[in-house]
Amino acid sequence: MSVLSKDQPNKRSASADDLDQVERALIDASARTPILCFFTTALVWLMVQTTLWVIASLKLHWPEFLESCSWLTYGRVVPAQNNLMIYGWASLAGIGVTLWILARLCRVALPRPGLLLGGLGLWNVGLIAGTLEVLSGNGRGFEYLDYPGYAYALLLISYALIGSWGIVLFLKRRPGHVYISTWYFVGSLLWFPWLLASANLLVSSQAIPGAMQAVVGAWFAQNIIMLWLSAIALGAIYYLIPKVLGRPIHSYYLASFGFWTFAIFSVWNGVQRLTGGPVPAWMVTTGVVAAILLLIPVATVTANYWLTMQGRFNLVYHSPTIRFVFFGAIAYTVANVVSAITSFRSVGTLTQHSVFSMGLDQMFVFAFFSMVIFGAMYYIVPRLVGCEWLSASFIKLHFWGSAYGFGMAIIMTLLAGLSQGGLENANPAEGLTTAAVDFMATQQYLTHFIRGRTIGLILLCVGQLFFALHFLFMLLRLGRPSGSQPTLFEPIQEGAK
Amino acid sequence: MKPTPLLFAGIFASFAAAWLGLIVASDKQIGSLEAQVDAENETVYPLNVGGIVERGRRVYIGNGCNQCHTQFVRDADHGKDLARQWGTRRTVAIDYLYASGAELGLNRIGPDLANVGTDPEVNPGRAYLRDPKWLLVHLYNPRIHNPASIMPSYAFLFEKRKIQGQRSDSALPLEGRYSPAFGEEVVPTEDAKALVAYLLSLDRSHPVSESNGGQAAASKAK
Repeated sequence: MSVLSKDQPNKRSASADDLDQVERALIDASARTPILCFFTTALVWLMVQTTLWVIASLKLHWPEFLESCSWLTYGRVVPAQNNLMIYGWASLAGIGVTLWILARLCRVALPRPGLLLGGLGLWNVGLIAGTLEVLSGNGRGFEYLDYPGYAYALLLISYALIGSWGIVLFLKRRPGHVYISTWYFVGSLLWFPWLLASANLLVSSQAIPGAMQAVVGAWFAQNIIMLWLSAIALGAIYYLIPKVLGRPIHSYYLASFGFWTFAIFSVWNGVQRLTGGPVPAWMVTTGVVAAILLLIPVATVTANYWLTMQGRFNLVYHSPTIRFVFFGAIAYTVANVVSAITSFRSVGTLTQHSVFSMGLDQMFVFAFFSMVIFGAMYYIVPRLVGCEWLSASFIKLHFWGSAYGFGMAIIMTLLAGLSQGGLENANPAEGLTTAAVDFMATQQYLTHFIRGRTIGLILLCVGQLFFALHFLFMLLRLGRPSGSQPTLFEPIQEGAK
Repeated sequence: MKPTPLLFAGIFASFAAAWLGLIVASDKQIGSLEAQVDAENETVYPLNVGGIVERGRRVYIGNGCNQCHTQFVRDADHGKDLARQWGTRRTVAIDYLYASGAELGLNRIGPDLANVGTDPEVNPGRAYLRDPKWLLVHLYNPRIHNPASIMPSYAFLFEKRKIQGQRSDSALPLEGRYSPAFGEEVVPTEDAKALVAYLLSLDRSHPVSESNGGQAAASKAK
């Protein structure tokens, strides 16, 4: 495919471009069915988990809502929603993005799409079984590990089919430079099974005492989000921003330094969630130190995306991909800084048992990861279906529903958490006796903020509906013709930078 | 070195370092604890009760009680848990020897439950929690005791049935708009009874030795 004509040297660049286009078209054709299936399934789970999210939020300030239905009791809905958020929406969409970008970067067509689809089917079986178990009252109570062990075993078996494809793509890549995104994707593909399998085994075991299980649970909850999902999103950011802008990453050296510090420091995080808890202090301290050290790779990524965008920030008004990805990138920086601050004992003791820590996790998964993945999907899907997105208005509604909706929800959640923690730890010396700050006062403040959160989540839900509908149009090939300009919010003026 | 092996080696090594240094090292320290045997008083702590308490534990975890309630008493340096009389001392690893890590809890939308079953003479706070009937009514509908509570109603753990002959001993004392229709009574199912038995088994007041994380003096309450 890379053989260039020797007879017509002056036409070399034209035929090289054509060959590149043909190669890309072949890669996209091989990826079309499996990746679209991954995205479709992920969007279905996104709608299901968002619905459960709204129900859970409603129940927190309106406990009588659907109270006679035992399957929807708050304590079952929340784990069901959390797991579908991570394994239904985030993992499947993330894997879809990973495989497509890897195929393009490695310049290899996706082999054996049938096995990928088989893996996807088995993954869904695991999810459905796990969700039914949790909703019927058989959850295990560990964050993002609530399904009975066999459900995660099913996920891991199907992952063996799916994830190994990514590694195969990497091993069969065309010789040449290995781009930074590839490193993040290969890392994520290898870290995920180790993380899930080991944590699942340890919390399943009756021989492990509760305190040790709690350590594993905290470590897993932190790393499934800050290692697995973050690595995918970072790989996508490093691919999409240079691609759309048409310029290279500001500092490649900084990027590779950032990858290795990310790989080394991330995994030590997690146990700071148990500050003050029934675990030896060194474990908590390790987490605090790791959270601070993690700011090093965060700083390198931030410097890179900011400086790469320098002078082209106005593209946020034109390109849907850039708008979503840049929003996600900024959320990455903010969420990591907040996470580092809450690792300190003085702050952590306020937030650890409040909705703040739950909200922070959701900030990582939605404001950072999901927004980057939306941006990636807006880029990838037209290349798979052969037409451009139909309506810029739909994209705007999706963005504003997500940004405003989740923005409102997260601000309310974080404020609720701070008030919860603050009141719970109120200092008697400040005139309030501890008994006076009784629990009902804490609950009243909480419910006020959570009402705001529910409204935000409903907005978010509406935004996702527009995206799901728009995606359906694309599946039905109801889009603008390909070859014209991609669907932009506003046309880019001629001569403008 | 070629890029592929280097990349794989680096990805593997970075994860393995933390895996060994954090998880395996933690397991060495608290992964194989044993119950504390106090030869003088002839007590063993904790006791692996099993039976109805174990069933109650599964009901507690399966219904997600840990989403709103912790069992995680912190000392005075970390919070006001002891001042709130949620326990006589902080909880330590051995307290969860036969418990699941999930019971530590994720959130305090409701109060801490680590010492619900502690003798009121040992921990005077919240003595009303030691009454099984109070707990059952609370589970049936928390708004009976506290109209502003946001705790969900677990009425599905109870059964409304016609009174046959005499009222059952286990029927709940409900009044006003929460009482069932005339001739009916509300009785707890086995799951509800198990859950209450589990809650009443929660007692972390037993002193623990220095090596298990306890202090030489009884508590560090301020």
